[in-house]
Amino acid sequence: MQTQYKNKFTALFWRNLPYFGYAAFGIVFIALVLLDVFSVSQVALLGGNHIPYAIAALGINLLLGYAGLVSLGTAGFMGLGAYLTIFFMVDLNWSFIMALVASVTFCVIVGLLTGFIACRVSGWYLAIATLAIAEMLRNIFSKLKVITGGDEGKAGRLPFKYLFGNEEVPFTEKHMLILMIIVLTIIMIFTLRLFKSYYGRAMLTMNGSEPAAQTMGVNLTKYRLLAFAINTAYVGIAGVFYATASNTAFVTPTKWLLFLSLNLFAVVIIGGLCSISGTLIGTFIMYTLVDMWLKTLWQGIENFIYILSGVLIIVVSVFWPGGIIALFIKLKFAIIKWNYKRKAKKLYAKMQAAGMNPMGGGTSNEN
Amino acid sequence: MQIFINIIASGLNTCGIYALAALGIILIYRTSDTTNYSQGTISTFGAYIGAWVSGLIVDPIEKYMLSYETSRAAGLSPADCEAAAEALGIAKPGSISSLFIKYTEDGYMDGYYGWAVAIVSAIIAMICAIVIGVLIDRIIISRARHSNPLTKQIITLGLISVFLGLSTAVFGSVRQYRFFKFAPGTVKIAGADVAWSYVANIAICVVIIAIMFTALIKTKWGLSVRATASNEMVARMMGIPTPIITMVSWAIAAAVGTLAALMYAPTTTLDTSLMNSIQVISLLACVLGGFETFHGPIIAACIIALFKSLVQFYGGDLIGSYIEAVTYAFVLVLMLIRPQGLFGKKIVKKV
Repeated sequence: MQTQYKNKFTALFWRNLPYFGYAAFGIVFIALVLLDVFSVSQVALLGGNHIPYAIAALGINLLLGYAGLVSLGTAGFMGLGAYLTIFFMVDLNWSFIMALVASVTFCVIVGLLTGFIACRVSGWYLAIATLAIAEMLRNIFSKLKVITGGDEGKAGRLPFKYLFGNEEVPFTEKHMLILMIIVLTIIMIFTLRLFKSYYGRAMLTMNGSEPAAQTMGVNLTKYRLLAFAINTAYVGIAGVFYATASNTAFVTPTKWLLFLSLNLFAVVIIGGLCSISGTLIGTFIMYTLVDMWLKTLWQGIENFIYILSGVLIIVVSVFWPGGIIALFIKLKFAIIKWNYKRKAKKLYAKMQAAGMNPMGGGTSNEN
Repeated sequence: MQIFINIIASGLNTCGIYALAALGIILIYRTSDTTNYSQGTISTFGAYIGAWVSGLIVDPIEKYMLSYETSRAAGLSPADCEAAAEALGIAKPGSISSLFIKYTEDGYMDGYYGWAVAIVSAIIAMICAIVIGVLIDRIIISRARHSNPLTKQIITLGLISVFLGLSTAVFGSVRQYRFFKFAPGTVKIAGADVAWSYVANIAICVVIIAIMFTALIKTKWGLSVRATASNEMVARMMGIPTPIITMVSWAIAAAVGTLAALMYAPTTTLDTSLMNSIQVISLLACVLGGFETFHGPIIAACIIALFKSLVQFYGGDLIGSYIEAVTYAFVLVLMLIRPQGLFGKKIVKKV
């Protein structure tokens, strides 16, 4: 049923509410930073540090929730993006934007190669094939010392002076945070647009039933490759930001283990599949809440944090399989139901007051 | 030739470890329809228990021997040595530890039976692992029986976090498992000196895998497992207690994984990342062999292990340093040739 709106502008507003919501989210965060309500470190503690994880998790959500393809290679691709950025910026002295574009392009090329494997195998075979690719990349990270610095790792350099070129744009950690928030907002809006477009619906059909999708004229190979390309682009961007987000960014091969991929996977499941805001909530719970707040609140019990986050993952997935966002949707429907009941009661009272029989059929009954 | 035999022996040793880990994963996959990512972490926790038990037995003996040795070097009689150690405030090790003390012919204490301690601690660790497996199934997995496979995988991910936290909280971060030489010395096989520990490990793996497969084929339990694996609902309708079958699978997987971890632990330090690479390779073995059979993953594990050790030696320096990448690439190529696994059946799609 098409909802009736009062006029064109309210219709435009209500139909595009998520877009405005995401834009508002970005604007509020940027305003908080720009107006110095919170300092950079406070915003970082509020979740600014974990924006790369949110971006990577959005990529997984697109791949898993929409295209129905499982990838455990996230950590490898993220590491690839991070290492390439550091290589381009520190060793080749490129500007940040050039490094970003080059590393993301490289990640997408590797992602497309992975996509060709996805055309051949599916399901959990695919998950473990991507895991093999991630472990291959990790082996190369630890052995190819010329580019990656080997097992000791490599320190990143912030794009402080070089954003576009060597023109000495004043660029600090604060600007980097704002840039990250802007990119996150753009990615959120782009993802939602993609979900609502023909491409997103085709992927969803492919997820539902592959033979049915083929019957409807969906080219499976094309959409699998597309899903993998977008996924690796997101994950590559996440890696770039991981390497440049802070002064102390340091990249070692031990950061890109299977555990990271699984954790990002858990972010998506805890937040809720096919939901952008759910992914953000999941990142907040899995990383910000657990990693930052609890660790600073209760120092010295870091082992219990692990146990706690594990128990959290288990409890959420056993009792709320739809994720946290399913709770919100339930709440929304409860409110709508309550609202309808309220309106119906009002109408009932009104009709009784007017002397009509609200339960009966009115005029047709009397014939 | 001697070098070749040594490489084959060490390859078979790792092959046994991979095969045991893969056996656990495939048992759980077949009976509760989930890829168990926490297999490695649970095994590591079991290995921590084994190391802790062996420390409980051996620590008092070693402490005692330290003071005993100086008296013995001075030429005192066994009784005087004991008295001297006791005068320093170190009593003779208690009843359980004293069972493992080795005596020389003239009555002196001379170390302890390493292999006996290793076996006893391994058995205790495996019993604890069985309890852990049963608890995991009863508390968590049985409640999530009807949720989709994806959710179950995330639950096993949660288990990784829980056991990572538990093993560092209970046992501390690093612990040395000291029984690399539980079977010291070498044995001559076709003119080559092969370490006894390799022979023992390979023998144990072969025996366990043989027992498992005989049980799967011949016993009623094996029949129930195979029935549950092929179709759980029909199996339940036929009166097979599928919850118990699943529980036993988790218990066996935990025990077998613990044994693999205990075999692997002496070659490195025992820390929480002990089984990471083995976990990845055993998952790959499951994919390469095909999830549809029990024997496929075991054979695939052997192929991967032998490929790895042979290529590492004969491949030269460059390939040798990128051996893991080469191994994974090899597995990927095999997967592209046979997407359903080497021994898997092709699933025919019906619309």
